[in-house]
Amino acid sequence: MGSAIELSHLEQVVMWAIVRLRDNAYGVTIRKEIAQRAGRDVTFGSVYATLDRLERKGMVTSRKGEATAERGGRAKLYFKISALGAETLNRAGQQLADMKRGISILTGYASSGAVL
Amino acid sequence: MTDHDDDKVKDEAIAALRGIIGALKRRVLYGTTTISASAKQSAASAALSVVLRRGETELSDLPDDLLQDLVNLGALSANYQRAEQASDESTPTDHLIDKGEESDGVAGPRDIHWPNGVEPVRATVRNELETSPPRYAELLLQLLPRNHRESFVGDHEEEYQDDVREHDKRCADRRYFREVVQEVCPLILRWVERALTLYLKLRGL
Repeated sequence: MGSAIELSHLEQVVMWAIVRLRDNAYGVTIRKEIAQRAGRDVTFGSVYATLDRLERKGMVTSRKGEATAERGGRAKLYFKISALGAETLNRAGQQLADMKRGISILTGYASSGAVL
Repeated sequence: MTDHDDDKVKDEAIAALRGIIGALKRRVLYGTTTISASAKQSAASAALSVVLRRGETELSDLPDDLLQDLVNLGALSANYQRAEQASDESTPTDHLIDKGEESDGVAGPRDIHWPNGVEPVRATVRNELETSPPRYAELLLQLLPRNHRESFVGDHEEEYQDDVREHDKRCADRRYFREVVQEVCPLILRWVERALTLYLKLRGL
């Protein structure tokens, strides 16, 4: 068993978005990536609350970026996954994969109410 | 310096300059009627740093829109100075401001009237007026906790500008307002809940 740090579903989704975006992960792009890939429309409030939590857990790091006129002269805040974050995210993915292993057919399971 | 480093420095400086100009325009259009000396100094030193760090005086290297912004900013500042000289009032720039309302009844950004004989810098000013998020909704965002607030508000504004480009201002205004309400409402509800809890505790209920 690994360390006790657990990640919620939204935390994992946000972290995967950061991984995908590489050096361009900030509020707007993270939110768009989640909407495009996960089909979830999350508010900036949720994204920032999650990022704040992840930062306190040491999963991500942030740095101030450039300010642009388009943003009213306000700086972007870029996020990056830390080494601990990458390890924890991998472990969380592995846990799910382990749980799923051996179960190949779920089609119709929810609607039929059948117990496997 | 290699060409790559050189370009990087230039890009950074241009980005900084854009930010400062954006902030200055907002100050001019939203209530602060004069550009403060320190703000002008910031813009000037940013422009200077572009030139100094490039090691040459190629202002023509700057993108056209940025150059135009610099020129407009200079003209805007000159207009204010001339208007101030032309007026005898103790708060000389007050008469330049019309606290107007937009046709849909929603309080809009302030309009600027220029005194006789002063050429207005309308194109840039008008464009900026038309693409700023609703001021009252923007103010609501100031209720949010300070942590990451600057980038949070900036993200909202960036999406707003995208919406204006993709759809129109009215649509962008609506979406911006809806999103701000979504952000702020839970916070206000939490405050009310805490206040009620405290009140009930104090009353011994």
